[in-house]
Amino acid sequence: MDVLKVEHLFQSYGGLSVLADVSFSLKAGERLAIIGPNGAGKTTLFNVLSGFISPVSGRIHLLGTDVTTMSSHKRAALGLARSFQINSLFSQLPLLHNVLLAIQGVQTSRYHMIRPITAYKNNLVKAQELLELVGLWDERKSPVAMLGHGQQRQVEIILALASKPRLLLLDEPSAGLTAAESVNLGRIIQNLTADTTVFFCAHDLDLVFSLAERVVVLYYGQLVAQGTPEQIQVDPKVREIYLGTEQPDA
Amino acid sequence: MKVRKARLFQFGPAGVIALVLLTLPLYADLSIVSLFTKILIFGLLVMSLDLLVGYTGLSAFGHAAFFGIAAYTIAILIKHFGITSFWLAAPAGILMAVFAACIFGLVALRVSGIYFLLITLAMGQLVYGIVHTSVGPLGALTGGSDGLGGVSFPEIMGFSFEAETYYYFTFASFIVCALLLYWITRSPFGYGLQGIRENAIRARALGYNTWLYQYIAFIIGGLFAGIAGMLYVYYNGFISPEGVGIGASGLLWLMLIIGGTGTLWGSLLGSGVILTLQYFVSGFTPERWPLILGVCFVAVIMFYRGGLLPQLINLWNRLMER
Repeated sequence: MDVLKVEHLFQSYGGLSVLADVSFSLKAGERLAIIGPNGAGKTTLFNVLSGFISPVSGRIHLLGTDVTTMSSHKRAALGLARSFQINSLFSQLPLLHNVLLAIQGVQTSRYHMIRPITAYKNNLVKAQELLELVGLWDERKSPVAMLGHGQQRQVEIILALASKPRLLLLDEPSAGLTAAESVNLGRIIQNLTADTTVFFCAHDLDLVFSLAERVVVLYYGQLVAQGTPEQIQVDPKVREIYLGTEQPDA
Repeated sequence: MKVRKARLFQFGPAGVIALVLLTLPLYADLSIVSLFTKILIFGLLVMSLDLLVGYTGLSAFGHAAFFGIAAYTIAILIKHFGITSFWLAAPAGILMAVFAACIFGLVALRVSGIYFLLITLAMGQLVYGIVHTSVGPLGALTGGSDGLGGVSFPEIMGFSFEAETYYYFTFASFIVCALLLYWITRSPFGYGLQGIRENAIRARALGYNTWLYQYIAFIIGGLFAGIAGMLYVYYNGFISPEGVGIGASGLLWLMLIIGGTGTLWGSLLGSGVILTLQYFVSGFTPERWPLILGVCFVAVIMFYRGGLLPQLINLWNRLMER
């Protein structure tokens, strides 16, 4: 069964068409990347998939369920998680509580009102595991706003992963990182998502080609190419989009 | 040893305050006991507002309405229907406040930010308008602008309360309610509220039904405001439209901001500072009271942004580190 199946998705802002007939699917355990120049519609696609924007037309199936008109929190309950291109954290809350909030987001205990959030031992153990993986356990009491940008990027990914999602959407995971930090983050994602289905977009093509098993190319709202990283790297259309056409000698 | 010392320093002031409150009627005269009863009641009311403003990020500006609805319900039941049983009148008043919160929340939570503030303000004024009506059967029921009196201290299980014993009843109610609110703020639900305050979009992406969280918080706020209204009408014996309208809701905000939003216990401090000032100042110059209130507010906003409680905690910690 496909984890994600997108059929004939259209989206426009006013007269501007942002997604035009986008169709693709993701198999369980697959790691799919989407690339394309700025304004290609990647973030819009992520917002449509996670339920923040309703598409003009087309259908989205998540694990066999039609989620096209479903709210974001219900999609999360089905097993969808996402990260954001611009850090989207609970800035004033301690790092640990950020992670605990992410873990309990799909548990019924999120409505419990009497015991402290830190009294849920299983969640605390999970939070410790996640934070130790990125070496931030010692920072657990700091408000996340106090962490550096690179650390906040890692927290961004951790929050998306914390609920053990069936499908993980990563929107520009390495945005704003240095090349070295980006390589490190790629390694972290590789380790943490070994058995998770991942759909991500990135400008950093090194990250794309090291992480993705398959790549689709979005250009002005349309999927113009798809294939393995090797195929995409030599695809003439992709080279044209990224490098421009060769000018005939004058 | 070091840990025990740290704990002593941390909870010492709270223990001293609790001890003073507990023994107050033994040495203070009745007017002071009465003042502290009022401080505890408004402290609870402001705490219930803090749950909405400080923890959930909802700028509710009609909060006195729930306080007033409970108080009026009880006064009407006693005065017009002869229902003097505490076990009937008090729960009825609190339930009416909760019921109103269920309805108002449905309407107000369709919008957010400044529009939420305006709608809750309008709904508070709606309640004010209803109890302020002086004509017709409604006027006869609520007493209109004259208010509704004739409520005396309750009788519970054969025990008739008086000013001093009612202080203890208020104190015990305050402790129970404040602990419940405190537990809520640090529970998974409470951190869900704070997460929504910090970043509603992320909360939604993580699986939180942000609307439902805010709605439940709004109802809990109405519940504890209703309990405060219940305590107040038995204490004061009288409720008038001034206790319900925009002036009352504004005063709650003042207490909240002076004490410190999002601190819960700051609400009690804010209530204490304002009501104590009022007690002494309005004895000398009642007509200058609003002016002095205004100056205090400006001073806190300018010099102690974040409220007095965080400032006091900082000061205490610095003293203890020496």
